Amino acid sequence: MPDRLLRRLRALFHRREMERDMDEEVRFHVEMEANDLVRTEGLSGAEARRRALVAFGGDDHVRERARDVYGLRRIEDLIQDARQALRMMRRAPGFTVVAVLTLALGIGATTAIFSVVDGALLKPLPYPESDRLVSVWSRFLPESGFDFPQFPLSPPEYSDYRAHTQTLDGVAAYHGYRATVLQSDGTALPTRGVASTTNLFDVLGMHPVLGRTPHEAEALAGGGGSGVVVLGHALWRRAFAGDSSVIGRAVRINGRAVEVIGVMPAGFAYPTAETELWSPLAFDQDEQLNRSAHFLVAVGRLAEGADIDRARAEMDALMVQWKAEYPDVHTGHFLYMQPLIDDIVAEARPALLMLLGAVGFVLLIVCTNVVNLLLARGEARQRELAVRRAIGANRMRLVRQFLVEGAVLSLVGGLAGIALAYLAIDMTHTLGADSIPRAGNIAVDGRVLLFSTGVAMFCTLVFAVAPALALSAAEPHTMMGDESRSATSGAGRLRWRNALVAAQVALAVVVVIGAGLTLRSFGELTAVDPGFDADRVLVAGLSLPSGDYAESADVVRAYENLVDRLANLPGARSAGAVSTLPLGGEASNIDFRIDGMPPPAPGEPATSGDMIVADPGYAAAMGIDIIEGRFFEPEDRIAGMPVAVVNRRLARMFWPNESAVGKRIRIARDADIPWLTIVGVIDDVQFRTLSDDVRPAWYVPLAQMPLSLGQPARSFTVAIRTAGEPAALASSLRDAVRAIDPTLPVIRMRPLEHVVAESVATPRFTMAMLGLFAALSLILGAIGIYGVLSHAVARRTREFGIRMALGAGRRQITTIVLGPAMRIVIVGLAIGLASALLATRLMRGLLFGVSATDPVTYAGVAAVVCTVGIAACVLPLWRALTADPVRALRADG
Amino acid sequence: MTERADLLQGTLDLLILKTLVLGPLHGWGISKQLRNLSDDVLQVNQGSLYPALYRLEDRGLIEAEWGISPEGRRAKFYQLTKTGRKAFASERKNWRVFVSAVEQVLGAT
Repeated sequence: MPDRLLRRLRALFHRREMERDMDEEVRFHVEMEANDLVRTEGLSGAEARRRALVAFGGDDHVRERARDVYGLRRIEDLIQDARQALRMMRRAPGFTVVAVLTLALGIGATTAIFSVVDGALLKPLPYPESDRLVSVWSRFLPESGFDFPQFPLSPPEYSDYRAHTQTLDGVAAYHGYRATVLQSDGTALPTRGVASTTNLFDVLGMHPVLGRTPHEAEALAGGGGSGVVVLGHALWRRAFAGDSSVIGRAVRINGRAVEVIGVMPAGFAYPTAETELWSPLAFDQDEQLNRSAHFLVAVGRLAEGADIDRARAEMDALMVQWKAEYPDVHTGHFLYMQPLIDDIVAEARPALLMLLGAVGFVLLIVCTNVVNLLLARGEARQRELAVRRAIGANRMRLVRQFLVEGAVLSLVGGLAGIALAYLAIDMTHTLGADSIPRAGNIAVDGRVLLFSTGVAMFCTLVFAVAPALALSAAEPHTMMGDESRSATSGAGRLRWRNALVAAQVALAVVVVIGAGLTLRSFGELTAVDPGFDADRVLVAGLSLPSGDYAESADVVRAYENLVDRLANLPGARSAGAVSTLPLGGEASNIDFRIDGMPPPAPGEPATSGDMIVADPGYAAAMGIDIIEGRFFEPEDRIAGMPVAVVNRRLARMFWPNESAVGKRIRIARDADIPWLTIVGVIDDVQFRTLSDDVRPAWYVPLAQMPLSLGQPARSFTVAIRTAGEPAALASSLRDAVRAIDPTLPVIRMRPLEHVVAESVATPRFTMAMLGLFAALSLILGAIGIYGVLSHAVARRTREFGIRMALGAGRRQITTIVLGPAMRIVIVGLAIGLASALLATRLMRGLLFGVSATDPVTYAGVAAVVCTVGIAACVLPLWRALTADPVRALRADG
Repeated sequence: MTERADLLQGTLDLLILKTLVLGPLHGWGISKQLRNLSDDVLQVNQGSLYPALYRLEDRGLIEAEWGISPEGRRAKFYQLTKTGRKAFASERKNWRVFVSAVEQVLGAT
């Protein structure tokens, strides 16, 4: 069989050679025959040749049939069809441009969104057999007193599970920390580190390119385990110039000397892209026993032959045991697992899949549009087709002609679409970098191109509908007689096109409603009061190395000094410092007690919330309203009365009917921690995202930080409220920091408004994309309506002329023209609204503050679609109204 | 003029294979051989001969090679392949069964 294929391919590619061979063979035959005739019948040479030729019977015929044998005929026909298709496309440039452009937009948008979905959601994580990796989290159901669907584990929970599991090959735990690395040139580099159990690298299946990873003994010896460290590749290149002698050397991390024992391969960064340090994790006695201190994230590798369902079943059985053993902790609180990739992409998945769905709708609209164009052209070509049928072209051949035309269109449109997708991906990288997980993975690659090819083939198949519809009317007997003279023609064919346009309108309505809901939701989201005034505030992060700022007093002095300088900068109105900046803050979730209230009994909900350290200037710098009492004063020092300010939520929770001022609060962990007297209530601030519920929070003054925290917080954000443009103070801020400590890096300095904008980057991206698709759908829908209507008007110009000659007024003509168009719009609208009711149900989780059946959106979209529909009718209607009766009657005799 | 018979559909392939069993031949040689062997009864239309040759070649029953004819001319020689030989054997058997069956029917009284 392969021989046969080879021969055919050779036949195709070496045609000239083949033909030469055939010629020579024929010539040889004729010559031999002639010689034979001369010999046997004694004819003259010339006569013998003539007879031989006649006997052979025309060599063209022979060659034609020989070619058929090799399947050349079919391929030649195909090439001829393609040439014909290109000729037709050149001859109708308007049609071609519109069809190719719409196709390019459809295929380009689909390809771009698919490459985003593929890069962000589908491609495996960069670890060996990464589909076997799972993450382990804990969950608090409301019956536990909390409602945290995804929460870290406590050390005993981790250790118990690790000892119990048989379905995992290994399970590692870790927590992240901020780190400052002192580089060889003496400057400090801010980065992020992870303290992990030593088996993390085995679980992930990653090995260092240089040196080794920590031993179990080093974790225990380190006591909190910071004696040794493994470096990330980029950090190694950046801070140590890729010097391999760094192994065994001591580097200062957070001011402490640690030994570098290994370097991980380039591209390895677990669990976040910013992580560049891995140090061993060990638990102290207290941590080992405290089931409620949740600060670990766990990652495991499924054992050979185990799947996640078995691992889950095993875990669920263990949870039943735990609940019986520790009812006070494990009521409504348990561990669960999910594929590791879900940690990264689960949040973005619904939005991205919705975009993929929406772009699929756009593609369908595009296809309908092109089918419609093909049909319109098919009608224009009815006579040509009928003539070709009549002179014997077989039906299959005509269908094939249409198919090839569709394929050529898809090919050209697809190529242009892929070019567009490249542009779109570039734009996505700049626009959506913050809002799409694993954005670095997104590229137009082989998989994506394969997908585009599939899409183009799908389009070609859809286009095959056009010839089927067009040809049914192209039978010679119906067509040859049908002259364009008849005034009202083609009603049956028009019905098809009307149905297609109605479908188009329906699809567009669904997309536009999706976009409308997202727009409304985004409006609601940005209308949420964040609790502070982001206008004209500059913020910057700082992280003091623990080696240089060992004591709380050092930290306090440094920040007080800095804030003082910042507040006195020209152009600054006030300045402050805070341990957790709103929006994008991490959950600290610390248990607390209220004086005079019994600690929650076993099984009762614990009381926990965010503890925030701030200096006296913070509330003013951020513009957070004081609701009651006061914020901190410079006099709130370590020697004075320990004070706290609580947020409105906390005050309402415990003292709904009285003042919180004067009451006392403290951290629950240790009975030695002093009570703090509440001196004020401050407005609620959104700490994580705008859409989250506000949690209880209490603030402690920077100067009194040592009273609540054993280890001082060293990472703070400073905020300056400015008189003018906040960015103008950037260099003065840097100078002020340098004056305090020249080695101190300034991290993520930006106007507070950017912080707010970043926090809504994902919904904004979704909204922008959906908005784009909605606009595209509307334009395509309008083109569809316009196309059908102008075609109908063109066909009926004579009819209108006659009607006007018979005395019809503009009113009647308008009714005749607009009636069918409005019918299309209304049918499409009705179907679209009904489908949207079903389709948008899937978006419910993505909407904030607006229902998926929001009547305002539905009504608005209906109005917009009707307006666009009417707008699309204007030009054809004008043409109908200005039809000159005399000319219309005379034309075409 | 000698009497001539039209070839039955499908028999041409069998006859070509037969001529090639005796050894490689070029196209004209095959047609000459057929005429000779049938005492000029069987006339092969050249318009059928060459397509049949290409078809057989395409099916892998014969293979072609350019060589030099006894007259010293470049010519394309056809010869049986192994599959061709087998195909000929089974085709010949089929043909004989067919012929005897037809004979039997025609000879019935």
